[in-house]
Amino acid sequence: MSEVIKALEAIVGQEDVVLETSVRAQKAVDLYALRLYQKHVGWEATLPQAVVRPKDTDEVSKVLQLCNERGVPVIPYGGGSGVLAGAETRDERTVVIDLARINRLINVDEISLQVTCGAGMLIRDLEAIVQERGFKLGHYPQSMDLAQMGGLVATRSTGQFSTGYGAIEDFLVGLEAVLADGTVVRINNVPRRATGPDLRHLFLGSEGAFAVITEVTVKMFPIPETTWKHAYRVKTMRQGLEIIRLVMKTGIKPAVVRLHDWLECEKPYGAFMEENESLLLFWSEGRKEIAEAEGAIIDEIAKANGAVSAGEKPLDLWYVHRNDAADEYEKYGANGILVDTLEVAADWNVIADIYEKTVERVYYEVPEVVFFSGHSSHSYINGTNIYFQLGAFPPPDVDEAQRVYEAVWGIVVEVALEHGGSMGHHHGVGKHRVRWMEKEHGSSYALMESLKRVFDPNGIMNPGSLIEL
Amino acid sequence: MRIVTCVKQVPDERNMATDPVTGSLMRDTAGSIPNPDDACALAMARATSESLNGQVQSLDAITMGPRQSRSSLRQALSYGFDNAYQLTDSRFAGSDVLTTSHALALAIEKTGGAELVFCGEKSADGDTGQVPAELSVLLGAAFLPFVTEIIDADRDAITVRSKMDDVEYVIESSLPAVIQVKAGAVKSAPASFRDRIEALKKPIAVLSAEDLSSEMLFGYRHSPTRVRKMIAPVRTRVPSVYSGDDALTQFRQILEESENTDDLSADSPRLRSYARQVRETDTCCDQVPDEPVAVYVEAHKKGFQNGLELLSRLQACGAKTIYAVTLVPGDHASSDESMERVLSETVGEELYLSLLRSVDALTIMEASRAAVTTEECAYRLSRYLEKRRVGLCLLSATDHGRTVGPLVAGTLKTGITADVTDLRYVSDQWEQVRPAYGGQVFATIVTPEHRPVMATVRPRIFAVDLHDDGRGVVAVERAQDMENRRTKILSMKTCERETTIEEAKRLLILGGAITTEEERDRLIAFAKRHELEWGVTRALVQGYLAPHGRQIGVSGLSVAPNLAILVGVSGSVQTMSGLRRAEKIVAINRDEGAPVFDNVDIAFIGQWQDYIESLS
Repeated sequence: MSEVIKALEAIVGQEDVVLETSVRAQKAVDLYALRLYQKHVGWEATLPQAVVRPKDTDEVSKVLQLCNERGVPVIPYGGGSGVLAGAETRDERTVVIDLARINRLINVDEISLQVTCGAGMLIRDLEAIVQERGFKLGHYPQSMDLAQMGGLVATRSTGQFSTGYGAIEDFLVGLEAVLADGTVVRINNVPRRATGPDLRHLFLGSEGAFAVITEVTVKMFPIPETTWKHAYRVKTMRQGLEIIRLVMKTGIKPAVVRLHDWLECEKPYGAFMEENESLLLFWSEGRKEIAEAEGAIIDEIAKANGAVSAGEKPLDLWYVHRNDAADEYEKYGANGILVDTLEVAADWNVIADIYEKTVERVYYEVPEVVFFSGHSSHSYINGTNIYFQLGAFPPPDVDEAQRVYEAVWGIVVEVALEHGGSMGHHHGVGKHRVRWMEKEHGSSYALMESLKRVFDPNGIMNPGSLIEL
Repeated sequence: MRIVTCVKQVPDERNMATDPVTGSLMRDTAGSIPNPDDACALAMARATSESLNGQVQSLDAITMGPRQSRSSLRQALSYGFDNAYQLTDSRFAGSDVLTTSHALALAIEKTGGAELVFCGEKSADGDTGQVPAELSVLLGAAFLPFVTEIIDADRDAITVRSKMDDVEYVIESSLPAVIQVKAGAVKSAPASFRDRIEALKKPIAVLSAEDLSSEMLFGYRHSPTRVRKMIAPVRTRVPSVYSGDDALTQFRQILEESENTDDLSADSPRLRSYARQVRETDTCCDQVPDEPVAVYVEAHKKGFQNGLELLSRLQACGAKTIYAVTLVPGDHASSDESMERVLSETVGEELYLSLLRSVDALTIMEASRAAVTTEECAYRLSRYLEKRRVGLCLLSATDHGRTVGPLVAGTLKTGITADVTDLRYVSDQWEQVRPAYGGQVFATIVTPEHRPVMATVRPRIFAVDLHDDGRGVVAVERAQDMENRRTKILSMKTCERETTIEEAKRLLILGGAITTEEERDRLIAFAKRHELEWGVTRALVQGYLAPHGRQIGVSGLSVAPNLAILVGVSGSVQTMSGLRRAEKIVAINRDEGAPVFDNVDIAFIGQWQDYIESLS
């Protein structure tokens, strides 16, 4: 047994340094789409040397200190629901730090509407805890069943109700994290401060490359009194995007604002639409007067701009089935289908161009693709995202799958960047998107590298994620 | 030459909401998808068209359905079909087999006729598989059922391989012909994104009722069959529920016990299930009218066994005049007596006499050839039913019966109900009960004005319980010349039975939650280790993870094992009907609200993997 293992055992106890192959294999990967396919055609994971399960911040600190001194790579592991290989082990010396045990509920503040918990708390469990007291988190990613609170902060998550409630950066109030050398830092909970740059943003989206988050405080909201929901048919995605822009321009923030293209609608909502149309889904919630007023504004704008009512039912279907894809994700690969989702964001003046150009290029350039669709699902006053969904039948081979995968990704990233958009709206960077980070950030990319050097001078923190090796 | 493929949209069951009050499915909330079996028909039609090397002028697709339901036609266009036609009109709504076939036949003729028509085996929602046969009758075309391969095709004739009831036939046919493609016979790659986008740009021609005919014999109003009522399934089992570690121990015990049970003990499970069956049949029946009823019996051992089940049911209903009719190969009989003797030898004397004693008359018809085509069966049976003025005709829902039945119904322009699970005479009508709406409820179907009422019944739905009160008169009909013979059997060969499911005492049944080959293989390995036979629900057959021969349920097999273990089975009526006579039903499902738990003896809540692992 190696010396590192012995030292780890001295910190967390023998039981919580797991060497068992099945556990190491499980924590060696996440839901990186390419692997979900490749693992069925011969790809094999690199296993970490151990999975450690610290019970508190102090143990995390000691583990990091040890690894930092010995130059052992570490990967903090949350719910494992990342889709870009952020938690994938690529170096067999790696020690995975599983945060699942640091899941204590620390405080529910019903006066200031905020809740504090350990980073390993499942968001599903935290939602249940606050629901019992008449509140909700307002953060509903598709990974709801798997994701942990710390992981959501570390990956700059967003949720299906983000247009109304905001994304993780809007929820996060304060946190505790451990730096590579074992130093524990805390950011206290306040409504706002103007005392220099907002340090929370050094951890939001840090993806384990800067620090290990061990505790978070997030906002919560009263359970809404009422819901207003309605679907509208539009002829084109461009028309639908324009309606969303006009709605956002009024300053209202409906909880859910979505626009799906025809290929995506055909199966679930085809009965409510004409062929080749796109479907707008709006959902407002909160105080009755407000939700209804928002609804009236939406209805007026939609109809004035050529949208046709498709009733409430599509929203009910969407709500019931919105996370089905997450359950089926693992199945596609086993059935020989390469499936992925690719999300970009851009300003209103270019987003329709990005959608159209991307679809057109995939159409002409990648013959293995059998499905490619897009929707807008997170809107802002200045722009929105497009979430592309890919289905392809590559030849059953590790390299062939990679070739098809890269071809589609290349197009999506290139089109987004050449229009001045962002290649990543909410899935993070992981080890997949790193190659385009310099292009994404341009002249400010140097700061990203500087931050990495400051936080992680020995290069042990999730190497290869966020910054290319 | 023109090739037409008939396709259908079916509701996406996954998206179907359930009415919170009635528990029935709300179809209008569901999106629709192309019927899975139709993909095979499209692929085979395209391949046939290609093999005909430029002789095909147009390869077209036709559907009937609501205007929004076009994805099946788009699928055809994305596969390179030339033209797509959609029959859409409120006057088509509620069409049954006959009126649907009528509309499709007119549409095919109006758009230029067709030498070859391809259809999928059956639709996932109606699940009857009767339209292709009736369509062939109305088109005056030959019918080729359960086709697995096109061997040869030219301008005037086609030769196909077909597999029915474990027999593989090579059949030659004149054109025009309707080809019912056996589910899973062709596995086609999905169309590319490019082809799908291109397909969206092609036009779809819309045809209304007026475009087809001025007579307007369409829709529910002109359909021979009517839905009298919908009934929620009766709950006959109340489960003991287990979860957690307790459950694993309990599961192991049940499995071990069943391994050691001697099923010939005095208190035989079969006796008990028989008693249950009798209780069910007690819920009969008004006074049955005088008109004769008939059972078409296939001229082999199993056919007679199935026939006895149907005759038992007719006796229990109180039918007054009961006939049986069978068709024997026409090669060796020199006299009426020798025909009778050959039949008796073929099926065994005991079976032959049991049948004879329970009917008023048995008609033995002689076929014109040694290899009997379904075409000839249908021809002879139609004439028999007309001549004898039969009021009700039952057939076993074997592949053979499911082919002959609709061919006859189409010829006599009457109604037919597929796969009925119960039959009784109530309020002046024969009520035929079958699962509907994806198997969530039972529909009671009547055929008020047309005669004979026709139905196919799955083997093993009714128990054999006969009294010998028939007169047992034997009538022999010698071979007749058939005008217009279209099909000819070139060769036939009995295939090895794929499974022994029907006889199995201990069964493992895989449900829709099993979606990958890996999971399936893991469960099969488990079944092998514990000497369980394995079957599946419809979802796996549709997903091409298992052959139809292993499907349990209304459109598959009815079984009567001592122990059935259901893994990841949702519990639709469609599936559970096939298990009605099982002695003990055990279900494992992670969803404690799964409908399957309403109708099993023991419920295990949890991941099936845990249960399988606990035993390995």
